[in-house]
Amino acid sequence: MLTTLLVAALLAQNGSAAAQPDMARAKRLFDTGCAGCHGPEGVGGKGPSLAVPKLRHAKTDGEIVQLILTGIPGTEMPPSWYLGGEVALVAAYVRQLGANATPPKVEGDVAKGKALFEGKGGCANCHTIGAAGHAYGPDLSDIGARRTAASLRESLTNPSAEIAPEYMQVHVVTRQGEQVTGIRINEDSFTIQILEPSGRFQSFRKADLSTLEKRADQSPMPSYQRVFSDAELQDLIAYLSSLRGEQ
Amino acid sequence: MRCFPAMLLLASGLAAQVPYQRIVNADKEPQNWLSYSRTYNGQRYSPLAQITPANVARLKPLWTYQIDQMDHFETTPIAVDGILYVTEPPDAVSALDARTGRRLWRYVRPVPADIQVCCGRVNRGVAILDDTVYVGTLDAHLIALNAHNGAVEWDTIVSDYKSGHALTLAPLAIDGKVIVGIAGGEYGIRGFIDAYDAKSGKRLWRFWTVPSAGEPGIQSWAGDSWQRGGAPAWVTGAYDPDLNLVYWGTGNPGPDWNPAGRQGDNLYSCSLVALDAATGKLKWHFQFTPHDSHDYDSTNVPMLFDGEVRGKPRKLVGLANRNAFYYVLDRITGEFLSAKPYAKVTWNSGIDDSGRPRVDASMEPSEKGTLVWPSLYGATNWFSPSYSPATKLVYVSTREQSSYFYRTEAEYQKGAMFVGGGERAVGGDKASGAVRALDALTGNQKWEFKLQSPPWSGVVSTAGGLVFGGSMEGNFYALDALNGKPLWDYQTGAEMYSNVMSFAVGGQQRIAVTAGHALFVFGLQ
Repeated sequence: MLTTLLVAALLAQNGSAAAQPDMARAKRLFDTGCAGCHGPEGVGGKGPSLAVPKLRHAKTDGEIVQLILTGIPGTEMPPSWYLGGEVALVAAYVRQLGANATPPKVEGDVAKGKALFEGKGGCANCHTIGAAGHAYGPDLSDIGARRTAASLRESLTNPSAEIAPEYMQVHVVTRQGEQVTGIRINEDSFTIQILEPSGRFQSFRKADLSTLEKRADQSPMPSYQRVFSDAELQDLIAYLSSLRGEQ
Repeated sequence: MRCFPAMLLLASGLAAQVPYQRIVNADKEPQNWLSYSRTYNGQRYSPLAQITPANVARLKPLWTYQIDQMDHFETTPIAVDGILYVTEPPDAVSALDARTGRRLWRYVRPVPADIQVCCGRVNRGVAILDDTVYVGTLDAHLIALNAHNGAVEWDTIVSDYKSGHALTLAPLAIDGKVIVGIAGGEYGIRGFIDAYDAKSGKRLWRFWTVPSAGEPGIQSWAGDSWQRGGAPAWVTGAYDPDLNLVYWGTGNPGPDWNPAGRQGDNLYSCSLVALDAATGKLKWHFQFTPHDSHDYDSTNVPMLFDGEVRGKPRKLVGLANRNAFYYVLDRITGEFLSAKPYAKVTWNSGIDDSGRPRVDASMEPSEKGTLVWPSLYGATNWFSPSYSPATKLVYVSTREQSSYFYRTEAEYQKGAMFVGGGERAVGGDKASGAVRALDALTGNQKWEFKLQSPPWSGVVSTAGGLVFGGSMEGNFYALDALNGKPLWDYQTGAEMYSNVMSFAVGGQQRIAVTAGHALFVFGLQ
């Protein structure tokens, strides 16, 4: 209820401010709160490009304001700390980015990239696209809508540069000597749940472990820098960029 | 299957009269929990000793009471002679059979559609006195309910909710009076603490937590900034019947993160005030965070205890502050005795001999964001600490987290947020939590029990030698009060925004805590 009211109030404010929105201030707010993930001018980075004619999660002005206020649950997009008219200003700035947008063109051969994904790269051993593949790493069904080509390149060549917390690799040793390495699926103060690469799920009480090592800086994914040629990498990036999920 | 004769229940309901002297002498009836922190001294300590480190492994959930709202369920139940009185968000009060959780009556107040609450539609509990239950509401009313059937006895408007005023705390009922503090520090309100006549609802006194023109302390506010100065008082305080002093924490000055327009110390924000309970006059104050710019409210429950400091027996008040320091003051005079950090802190470089922080100017909120420990939500928050007279330790549910603090412009509009910035918290594995046991006199840490993430659950300590607390991953747990060793835990299945308490029914000790949208009651089996 509170959020609904807030959105209504903000839209009302936006309506009255639409004559002369302070775009310089809007840019400052965007640079402070958004550009870290969405890149300068919203061209994308860790987060998706906002310089697109139509945003995937926010098709109307109200949805943009709502999305900025609440974030997107289950993703890295957090709720904002913007207040009052600031949200409407940032929303106006984001709309302007879209209005001026030219769709990014990604070099490479999508078909060849798909073959590499399914073949030489062995990517489907750990990633799903729709119903295909093995669920160990992140689902890639809409990765092209969420990541820029540059960000995808970095993930392929230097996967440890940034690891989403939900894919942290852990290594545990039980007091009986059993060793398990995998992705931390969940953790609380007393227990930890781990997914092994084989797909086997394990749950431990921490009191039963002699070692609990968190490899926060070490991606479970190997670097593909030396696995692929430059051309192959570009083809794979073109394929990944083409994955937009359900439109 | 157990049977409980209905007449017995009814009889205990009729007998639920709580004259003031019963609350003063609460230690004589450890089976009950008659005030927010059980006793006026704010200790949140239970003298019940049936559940111990030796048998806590047998603790099991006995019943659960679920609410029908999705807001945080932050109540501390009041336990009186077999009945629990709880508040449910947003504005309801229920009386529950303490044996079974079955409801005896319920009062529901509709919440106005245009309500403004910065931080959730919450309520933290009721007070009881004689035959009346008192509840503050989100639209800033104080309401008296008949303890036997929930009927409204009186309804007093404390302030105008349309300007951002609200009541979220459990009132404190003392001899013939009901005391409340106002919330709304993010809306440019001017804070206050009020006392109301328990029988009539008529206001007896008001202490403004921000002075007005001509009053002492006004020089600590630039220009007319005092008019929107904040300093809310949204967490229940403590009371010393012998000194007849009420102790109450105050919150942030407004606007929170942009202090440019309010040069000065901004009295009595981020302070502890000691008020004459008869008149509401200020006896003394101590300001923990002068000219605050990080929203480090001092709305933490003050714990009253006695002890020897520098060879002299003294009446003391201890307070684990959101600003990451544990303070000890003389509660007769307000004299500063000691301060010690109990969590990581970067906003200052220490506390001087007068108790004033040496503020680090580079830690001020900025347009680009300034990384500061502790985070906006502090090293602790509204949820209660506990003092055990058995161990002489203070147990603090502690948050280890940093935030980027942002500063923006702030323009006052009635009923709108007036904060001048915000935060981006550093979360995930870079944040953590702990229950820390501090020497109550010195603040020296005796032990800690680490938590996966920064908690939002207070703790209770018991004469049985246990400390109970909750986590944001749903763990409800018991620690050994002497060494912090975890002895028992239970997965409640939801985030815990809670304050633990203990009571007994039929001679059996119970532990009660909220998690998610349910109240859980545990006992030995």
